[in-house]
Amino acid sequence: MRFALLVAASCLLTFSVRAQDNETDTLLKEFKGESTTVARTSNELATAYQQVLDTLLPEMSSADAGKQGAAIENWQRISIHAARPGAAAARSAVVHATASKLTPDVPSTTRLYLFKVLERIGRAEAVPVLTIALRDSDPVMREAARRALQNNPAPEATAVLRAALERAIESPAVVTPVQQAEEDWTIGLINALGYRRDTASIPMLAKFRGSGPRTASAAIAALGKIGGSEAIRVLPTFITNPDRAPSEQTPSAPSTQSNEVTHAILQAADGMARNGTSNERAEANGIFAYFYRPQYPQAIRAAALRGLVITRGNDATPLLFEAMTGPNVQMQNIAASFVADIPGSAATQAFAALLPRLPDTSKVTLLGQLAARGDVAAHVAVLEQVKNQSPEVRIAALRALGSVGGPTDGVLLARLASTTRGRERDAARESVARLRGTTVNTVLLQALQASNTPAALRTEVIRGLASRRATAATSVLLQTMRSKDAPVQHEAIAALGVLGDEHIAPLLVNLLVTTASGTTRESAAQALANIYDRRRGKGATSAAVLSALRNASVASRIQLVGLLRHVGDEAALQATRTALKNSSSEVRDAAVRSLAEWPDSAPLQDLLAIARSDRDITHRVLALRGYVHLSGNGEKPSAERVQLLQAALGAAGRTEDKKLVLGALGNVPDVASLQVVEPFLTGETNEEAAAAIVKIADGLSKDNNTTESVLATVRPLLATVAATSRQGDTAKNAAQLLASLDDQASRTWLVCGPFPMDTDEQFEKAFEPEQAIALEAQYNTTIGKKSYVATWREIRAKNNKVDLANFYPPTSGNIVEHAFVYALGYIYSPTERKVKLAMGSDDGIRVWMNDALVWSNHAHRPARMDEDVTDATLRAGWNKVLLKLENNTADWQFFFRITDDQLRPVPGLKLSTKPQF
Amino acid sequence: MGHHEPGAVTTLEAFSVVVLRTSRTAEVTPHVGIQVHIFPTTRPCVTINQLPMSTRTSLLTRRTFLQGAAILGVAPAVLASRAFSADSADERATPNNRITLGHIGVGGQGSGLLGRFLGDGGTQVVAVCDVDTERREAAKARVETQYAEATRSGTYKGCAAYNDFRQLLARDDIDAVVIATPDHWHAIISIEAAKAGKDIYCEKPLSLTIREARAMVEATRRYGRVFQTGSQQRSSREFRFACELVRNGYIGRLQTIHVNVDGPSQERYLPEEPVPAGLDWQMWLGPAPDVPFNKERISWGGWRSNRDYSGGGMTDWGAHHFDIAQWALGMDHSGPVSITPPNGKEVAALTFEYSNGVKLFHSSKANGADVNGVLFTGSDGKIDVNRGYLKTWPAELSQTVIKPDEIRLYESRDHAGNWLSCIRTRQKPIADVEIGARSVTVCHLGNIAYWLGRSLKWDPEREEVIGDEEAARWLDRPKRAPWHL
Repeated sequence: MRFALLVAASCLLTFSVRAQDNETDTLLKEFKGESTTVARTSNELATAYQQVLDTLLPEMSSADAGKQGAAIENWQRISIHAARPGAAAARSAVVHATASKLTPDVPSTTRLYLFKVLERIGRAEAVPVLTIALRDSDPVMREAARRALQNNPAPEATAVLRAALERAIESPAVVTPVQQAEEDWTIGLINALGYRRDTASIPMLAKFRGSGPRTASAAIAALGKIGGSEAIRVLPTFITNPDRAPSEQTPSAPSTQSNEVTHAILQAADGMARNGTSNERAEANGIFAYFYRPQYPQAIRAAALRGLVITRGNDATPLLFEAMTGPNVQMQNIAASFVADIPGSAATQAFAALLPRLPDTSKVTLLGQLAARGDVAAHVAVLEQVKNQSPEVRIAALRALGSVGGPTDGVLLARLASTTRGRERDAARESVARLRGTTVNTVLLQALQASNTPAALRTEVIRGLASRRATAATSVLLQTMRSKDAPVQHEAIAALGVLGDEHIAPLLVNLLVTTASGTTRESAAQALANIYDRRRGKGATSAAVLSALRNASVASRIQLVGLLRHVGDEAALQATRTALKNSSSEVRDAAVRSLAEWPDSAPLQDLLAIARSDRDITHRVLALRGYVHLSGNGEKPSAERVQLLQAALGAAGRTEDKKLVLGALGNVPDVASLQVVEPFLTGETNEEAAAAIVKIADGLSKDNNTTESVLATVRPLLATVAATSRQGDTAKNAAQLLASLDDQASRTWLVCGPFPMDTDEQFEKAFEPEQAIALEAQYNTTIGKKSYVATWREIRAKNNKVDLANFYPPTSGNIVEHAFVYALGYIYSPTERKVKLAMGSDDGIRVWMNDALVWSNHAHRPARMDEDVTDATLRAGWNKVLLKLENNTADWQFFFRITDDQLRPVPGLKLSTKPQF
Repeated sequence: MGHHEPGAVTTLEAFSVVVLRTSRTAEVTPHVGIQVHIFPTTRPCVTINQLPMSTRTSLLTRRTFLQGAAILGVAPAVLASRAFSADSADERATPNNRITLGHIGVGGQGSGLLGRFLGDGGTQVVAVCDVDTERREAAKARVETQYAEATRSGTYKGCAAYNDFRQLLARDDIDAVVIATPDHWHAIISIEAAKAGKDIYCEKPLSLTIREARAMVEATRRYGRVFQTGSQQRSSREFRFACELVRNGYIGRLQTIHVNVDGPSQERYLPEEPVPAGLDWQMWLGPAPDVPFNKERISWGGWRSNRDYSGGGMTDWGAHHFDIAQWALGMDHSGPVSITPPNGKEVAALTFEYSNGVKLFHSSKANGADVNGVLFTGSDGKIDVNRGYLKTWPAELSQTVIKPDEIRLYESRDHAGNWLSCIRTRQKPIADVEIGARSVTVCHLGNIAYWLGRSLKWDPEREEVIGDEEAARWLDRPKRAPWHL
């Protein structure tokens, strides 16, 4: 009886604890924003948050990294959610609850996490507890409180930091290496007040002028950040160290600080120049003028000059000019770069007017700046520099002209390109192409047609028209392509290849067959090839080429046959087949080469036949190469590619040819290609076969859909290669790949689904696989309006990640959404051991280890490795792991690793998809 | 000794600055007369002339350095510093105008950058800095070995190695610095470098916080420095071309952009481990909270995913891909106006909305299809772009030639080379600090929305969160003493 009472009491207690757990779980979800928010009074909120934190707090101190991380993460999420706009009462309640736990009985590591919460969401209500913590004897706690106050927007936080700094001044740290931490504490407070730009701290910060260099530096920087006239007045007093006798002063401290003071003053002045009143801007202007004096280091003068540019705008132009013409090369360049800070066309004109008077270095920089402005107001001045003595200035001017030039500059640049070489010519040509405005083309075209235009200029004009894609020039170019001047003619033909389409092809073909010049014929063929490549399938036909073939000379015929592959239509293929029987060996040769480079796989059988039986070995080799190349064209199924390559192996006479085909098989990650390659592992082709096997196996290992039965074929082959290959890294790669096949990072899972998620509650609904594993079973499910038959299928992880997005066929372009799958795997451990399960999922995840639920997180998130960590025990022998993975919308992925305490993969595990019970 | 000039005050208080306010302009010339007078209101006078005219930079003097170098047995190479010679318009460097470099952070990415600049005839690496002794010494040895190969004697000892970046910055024979530390150090080192008159190449992501990024821009501008953000995709043809297609309306009216990068960083709770020999752990932490060492913190993936040091995948690859989105949007001086995290319901992916109505999604999928890198969808077509990958719908868009009257974007074919060229010409580089700041701000805003789990309204002009004071507190974070911006 007594026993029965005890059991009853125990049950009641368990029930009560469970009820409370359930209530906390509900609150946890609500407070993380995962369920509907319940209306509560401030007191009720305070109680509820306190209850949740009371539950989480012990776990935050857990020695178990997984539990600890989860508890911290939960409270962090709760605090972030509570700090949303319009939820002031919730935020305040979380802050109060958090603050209430910052007591000495709570472990210091836990308190650090709580301080972090206050750092992010605490306001005035957090200040009292942080004030106390600022006096904590543990410097780590003090620092956490300081950070929290620095980031606290309440004015009270500033006051507390100021008071703490006052105390630090009253009992300054004696600076020794041992007590550097104490000095850092003071510096941290100074930094915090500087960060908060607290003007009321200025007098206090001024007191650090007598401190050690580190503290003084911090105060100087803080004053620079705070800015304003008062800070600027105080800063120079840091230069001397009046609180110390001269004999105590270190040689470097004052001068180091003086530079820091200058930087701080400039920073403060910058603030006034940008955001200040007119008086403040004037004050900043004076400061900049002072520090711009030549005595100062270049970096300081540069900052001062830029300040003057900001405060004076256009009126700073004379200053920039002075600097650009001054004796200091670095300042010349820096001044020229500040041109960008003075906008407007008037400024462009003013700077452009400076060009003639500048030294070459500054000219180059200023020309670059004028180019970047792209303002035609600089046109005339830039044009003048095109004639400069210095090649670098000329090049810069030519480049700038492309941005600021006018309609006639196209011809000018073309003329310059025709009379120069190297970088200068390149710059001129590039600028012809960049000049803006359609009139540029008109003027270029006029120059091309003018009878007095020299040939060299005509050549460059044609090149320019082509680079500008000036299609209006086509008709003129069709006349020019008959020019007697060879370079002009060549350029015109090339330009037609760029600008023309199928409509001008007959004219070019006519030129090809009528010209007596071999060079012209080749130029025409090249231009036609360009046109046909561009227009293949979009209107280009082989009609013109076929017509010309009827009466063409051998020389023309060779070119025409070579063109057929660029057209690539059925008639062209027929004509090429005919050409294979031509009496001229050169024409036959052109036909074989054309077939070998055909744009699609239509001539595969022709090539195979040539490779097998042509009398000419060159043709056989060319054909085989073409065949192998074309067999990989398009998106042929891998089975078909393997079949094609198997035929190629049959046609390959020489060992080199077999090696070529084996290399191509390596690019087909299919178990069938492995089987074709395997027999070649012996003999002269062994290394090529070995390399192909590694490549195929690598491809298969990266494919999520590679099954365990395929891997069963891969493993022994890799083992053979690892044991027998003697070349390069093949054996090493094979061994590594073999090991990785059995690694967790690429393990195979059995996946069953999809099951519907009509409501969030179904996250906890036990669908059939949760009740019993039946690998042969089929389950009829419906997701939305679409029906599925859920079966168990394999999927492989890649770098620990399993991507389920395409595991089921997308519907209307969308992956399966609002659904679950189950993933099943078996793990063998030689001994019983404690492990961590490290997981990430998009979206929710539940995990059962040997049928016991060990993890559940109904999250909506992208998948990140190791985001969830919990602990588990692997028993000796086989263990069953079942995962339930939810997808709300879009991406659907998960990570799952078994690790040690340090999140390193546990070694010595065996993995399987086959049920082991 | 200190600069105690005649008339120096020996008391502390009551200085004031009075500007002789005549008129705003030409009366105040920088070379003639002193317009700023400082005098005590009640005490003997002192002037601002007390400020010394030292050419020393802010933290250490050149003399101090040279003394230090002598003590350490470092023989600084005789290198002509300051690279601004007459032939500065292009990469035609001679031994006399090489840009002298100091590399700060020579781990994974820093080591790659070191290799890039070591192989450049226009630069001379004269110093390396790392808080890991092994890395530091290996980098120094690498520099000296490589340069030794080019000398007749086959020896070279001209590369100094520092644990503390401040010592490197104090050298006035260094023109420019390459910063490749973890993210939490970028702002402090960059700003100190600017103050020391160095030009800067700083790895992306530009900063740890939004406020840091703005401070970096301000310092760069104040000191007239050339600052290249290491988001080198700006110097890749495929990205520039994709952005030009978008900007010129080749896909019609831009509607959406999908960016496929990893997610935000998180807080990590890691147990204490012994600090490895040769690692200055306190200096590694610097402004970050003082926590016990754990090797995950310093491993690449470890610090990247830790909120104390980085913004995770969102700022790592995000600083590349969101940067490209900003470029295509023409928002290099602006940003989104709202950021909405996924909620598992109607908002499937983190969504940035711009004032022009374009929506930018952080998602690996667009309508069920994979997004390779950055996918632009317009009313008339699509462009998916990544490194060495460009796919367009319709396909022929990829053959487009941008015409002279269309928008042509800044063209750079070599990110590091562009920086060097700009150091010589003082032009803004392709990924100027303002661009880096604006792009990383997008990434940070995304992170804040993820972390807070709620939508944000953003004023890109003022760079302020609208209507959510607690969210605004995530724009920056306190730094551990003695560090500050």
